[in-house]
Amino acid sequence: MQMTQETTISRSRQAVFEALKIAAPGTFDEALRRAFLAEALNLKLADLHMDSLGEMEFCIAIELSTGVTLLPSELGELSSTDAVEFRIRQALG
Amino acid sequence: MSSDRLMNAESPGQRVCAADSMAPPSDRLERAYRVYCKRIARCRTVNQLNQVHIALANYMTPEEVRFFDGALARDPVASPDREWVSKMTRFISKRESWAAEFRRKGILKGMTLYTADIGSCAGKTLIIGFTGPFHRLGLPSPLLLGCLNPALYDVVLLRDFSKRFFSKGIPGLGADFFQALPNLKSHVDPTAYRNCIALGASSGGLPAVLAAILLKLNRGVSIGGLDFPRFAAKLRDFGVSDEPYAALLASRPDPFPELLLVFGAGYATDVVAARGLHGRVPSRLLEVKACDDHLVLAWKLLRGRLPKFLSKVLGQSVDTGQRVEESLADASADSADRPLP
Repeated sequence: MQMTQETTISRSRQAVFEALKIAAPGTFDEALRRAFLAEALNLKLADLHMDSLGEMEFCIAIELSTGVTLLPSELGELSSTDAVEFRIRQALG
Repeated sequence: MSSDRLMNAESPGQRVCAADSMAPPSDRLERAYRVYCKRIARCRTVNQLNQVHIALANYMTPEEVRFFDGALARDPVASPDREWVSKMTRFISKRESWAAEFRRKGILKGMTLYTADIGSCAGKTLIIGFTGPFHRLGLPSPLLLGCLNPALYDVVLLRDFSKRFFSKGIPGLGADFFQALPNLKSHVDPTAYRNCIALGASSGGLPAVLAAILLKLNRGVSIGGLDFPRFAAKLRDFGVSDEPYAALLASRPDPFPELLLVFGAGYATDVVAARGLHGRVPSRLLEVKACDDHLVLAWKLLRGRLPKFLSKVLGQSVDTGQRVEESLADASADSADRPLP
């Protein structure tokens, strides 16, 4: 059970990371990448300067990798990458 | 299905599109519209719908947008797709004086040619577009094409699917920047044109400047592009040596292109980058006053000034092809764009 939960957490984190690489490509250097995947970094979405197209691409990437439908209009309420990840984990159950 | 693949040159669908460029306009447009309707019918979520629309907006021609708009307008039910296409149509004006329409010719994955079956290359300007991370020049491609007189311009859009600042080249042209660019001529020869301009936005900005130097083009334009140190650091992150790029930027071939670095005055990152690059290479800065957006072309579009601004950036009228270089040095030509020395 513990293993399943860890796998889910890792998958959602990875999904957010991959989506950010597409939607906000300048975000990560090597140090930030490591910190983010180690869950030691929570990025504010506002700091990522995603335009509307970037937000759409972000949500498309999340849906493609996890099957979880997250709408661009929801991103305003989800202020950080941790919040997005939590939303994905909730949806995955 | 990746959005990039929707209208990709190497996909079977794109081969149909390439063949379609030879078909009568009404057949071709009807067929494209039927394919679109089938795709849309398969969409089950807003994201799937967005994915189709984003990909289409990266590849469509103004003629296709207008046709889709007309076809969707007959749909009695207001729908997201109708809203999507009518939003684009609003920004594309049909110029009755223009004798031709752009047709798309998918040449390679990563290389799309837009040309009209009119006139010869010798009388036209070739624009080589280096797209940014979303495979467009900061706005839907038909909106850019809609500003350009098809009788006087051909446009090649290069798309960096590897997202490595074109350092991995263009599949089918070459495995790196320095191989791929000279091989462009096997499909579209810049030297056959009256003149040739490299135009890049965002992460495509600096590659456009470098391409203009490498190919000895008439002009290179970076819009919201990076300065070299950040570009070089990213290349090293990708495991690519920045040395040949540094050497190219330091080179001064003869003839040397006119280089123009465009940035929104209120977008700090781009201001710093443009000023930094200006110190490294002979170039001129064009500050877009009051613009706090990275996407300068889209910003101009929303204010109804894109054609005039593009003429200034290209150094020639988008309508007649006549040089308009003087207006770049004339701040009064458009008080919102302040040229800098």
